[in-house]
Amino acid sequence: MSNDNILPEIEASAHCDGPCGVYDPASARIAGEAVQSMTKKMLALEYPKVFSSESMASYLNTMSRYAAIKDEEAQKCKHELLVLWTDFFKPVHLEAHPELHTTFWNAAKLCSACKVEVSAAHAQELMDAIEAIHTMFWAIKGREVPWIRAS
Amino acid sequence: MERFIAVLSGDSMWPTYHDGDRLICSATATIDVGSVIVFKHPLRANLNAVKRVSKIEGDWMFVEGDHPDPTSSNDSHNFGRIARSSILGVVVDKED
Repeated sequence: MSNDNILPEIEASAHCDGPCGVYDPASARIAGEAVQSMTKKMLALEYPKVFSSESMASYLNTMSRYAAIKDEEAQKCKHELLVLWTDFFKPVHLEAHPELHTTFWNAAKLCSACKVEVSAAHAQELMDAIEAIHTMFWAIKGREVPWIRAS
Repeated sequence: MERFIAVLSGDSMWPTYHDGDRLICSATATIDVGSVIVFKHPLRANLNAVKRVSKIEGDWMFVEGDHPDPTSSNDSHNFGRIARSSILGVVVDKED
């Protein structure tokens, strides 16, 4: 069947977008919550009242585990944010969200700060930045998705 | 134009349609979930895109590519829903 002579013709794209799949800032949010949780636990962990090899070993073991998880989750959070920033968001999104680059850059910096420090303030700032990204993301997708925390 | 030919570029509709296929489209055909449509890309004004309707919410639609690799299609997973008013036509046939 040929309609070359009677039908107008247009070009239509069915191109792929290699790095893109299913995106959701929830991945960064969960990692960020873990960072904040570990930060709070580290700040709340009391130094042993009775000094002994056993009490110190227990204290150091617990603190080390908190620190290791905080570091790991902060790195994971940074990775998830960078994937969103570099793969999902496109230049055209800057028109509606001119603060996009600054928000992501600050969020990534906060991930690093939360690794280096034990700062409740920076952990909260990281969560605030992720919430801002959540809001931008779902606005672009045209859906109303409430900001919900697991913790 | 009530009927037109959309010349396909890309593989996100594989295996249903292939790069270079000439799709016969109708601007008046009914659109249902499962219809393959040609529409104005919501983020690229000069680009027409071809995808399959996966969900309809009033005057808004979610579209997806047919390619089984979830990373192979730039569709509603990336750019969100599209407006019914952005639709140019429904694919009704393919030239042999």
